[in-house]
Amino acid sequence: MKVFLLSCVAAVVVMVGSHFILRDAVPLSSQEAYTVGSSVRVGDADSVTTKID
Amino acid sequence: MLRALTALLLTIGLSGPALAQYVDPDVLQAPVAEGASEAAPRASTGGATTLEDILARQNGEVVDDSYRSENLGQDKPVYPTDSPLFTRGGPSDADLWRAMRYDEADIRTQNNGPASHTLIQDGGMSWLEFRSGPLLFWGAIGLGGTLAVLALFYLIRGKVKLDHAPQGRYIERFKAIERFAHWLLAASFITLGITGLLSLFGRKVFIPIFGHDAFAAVAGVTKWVHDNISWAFIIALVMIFVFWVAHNLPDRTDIKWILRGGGMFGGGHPPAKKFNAGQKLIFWSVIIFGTSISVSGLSMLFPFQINLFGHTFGLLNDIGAPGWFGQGPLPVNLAPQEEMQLAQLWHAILALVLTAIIFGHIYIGTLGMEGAFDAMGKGEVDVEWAREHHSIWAAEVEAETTPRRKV
Repeated sequence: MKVFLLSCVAAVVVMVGSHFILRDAVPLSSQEAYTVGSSVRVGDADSVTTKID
Repeated sequence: MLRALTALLLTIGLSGPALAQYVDPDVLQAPVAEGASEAAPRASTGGATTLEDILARQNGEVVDDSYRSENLGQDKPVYPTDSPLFTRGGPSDADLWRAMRYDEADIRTQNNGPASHTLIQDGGMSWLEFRSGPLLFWGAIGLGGTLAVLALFYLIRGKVKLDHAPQGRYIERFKAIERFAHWLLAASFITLGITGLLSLFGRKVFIPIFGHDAFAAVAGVTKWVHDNISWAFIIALVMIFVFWVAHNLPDRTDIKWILRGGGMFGGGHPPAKKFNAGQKLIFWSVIIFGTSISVSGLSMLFPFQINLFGHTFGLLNDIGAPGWFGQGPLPVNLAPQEEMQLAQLWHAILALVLTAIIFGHIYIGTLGMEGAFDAMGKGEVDVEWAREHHSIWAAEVEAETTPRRKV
């Protein structure tokens, strides 16, 4: 029973510790996935460039 | 007279647009001749989407998209870019959008995020349909079916009792550190399972019951817990692998154990070492599925940083694996979003399968077998239990140590 409780405490410690360690390391995926004011070009440098807002 | 002339002119003038809206019903209902469905309609639309394409998609049929994916205009404009009307003959807006959709556009964005070069990714719809349809349905069937089978087995077979009375003398089955690793794995897995199921089934099951606001709060906590407790699972997974891998290597006793169904056939208990073949299957399921779940989970925890599927599909193509099932090569150049979609589905499917396996493990370790829980609960088992279920291991331990009588 003691071992079980100890493992539960350890799981909580790891969980909270992970939050503080990783909160700055985990990227904000949804913000990175979207683009605003992107320009899109088809083909090489002579091709048409279209700006998408 | 003037009014009559005006009325006549208006009638003639307005009948043109009205007639233009008219479509002969026979044209719409006319059956398409075999072989003509490809060439004739495509020509009739100037190479664009036809009514047959739309109807085929609505019927769930796969339509060859090459008429769109390969129709991206010319690379260069016909006229120099500094000439008047320079865009004539170059890519049109439609060409541009098609190029974006089929990931053929040379996209430059102000945002340099890893997925920012993919502006359109229509694979998201098939992912969403699978995630909210077959995955939930078969996931529920799998978990519910496993519980039903275990309940039926318990009703028919009942608890596996010891053949002889316990002796009251105990031998050590697992050290404290082993039990710590097991319970750390169990606690984190159960938490991950509950929070994972809440995430997976939340939209379909819980929102209709509790409403959006209540579920939104639960979902926020669920995600935080799921993301952060995953590290405890990974740590525990490594620990049990190190502690028990040597005892879980297959050997010839496993064949005998399996042939006798672990004691269900032939009477008596088949001999076993520290872990029998059933426990070894559980161990390797946990290690292999747990590792794959962890890696796919990490790829979602750090989006777009760990791309698993493009490389894996490339390796499978190299050995010709898709051909074994009559399939063509798997796609290798996946958009970052496709990698995430596949990672989510893979993560969920394996987690559901592992959960069903663990249901069986929990059953046999608690309700299903007399004395089994002591092994992980107290770390010690009765000598009689050890001799009946793990005879080879019990003989080894008794030769080295004297069983302890409990007071």
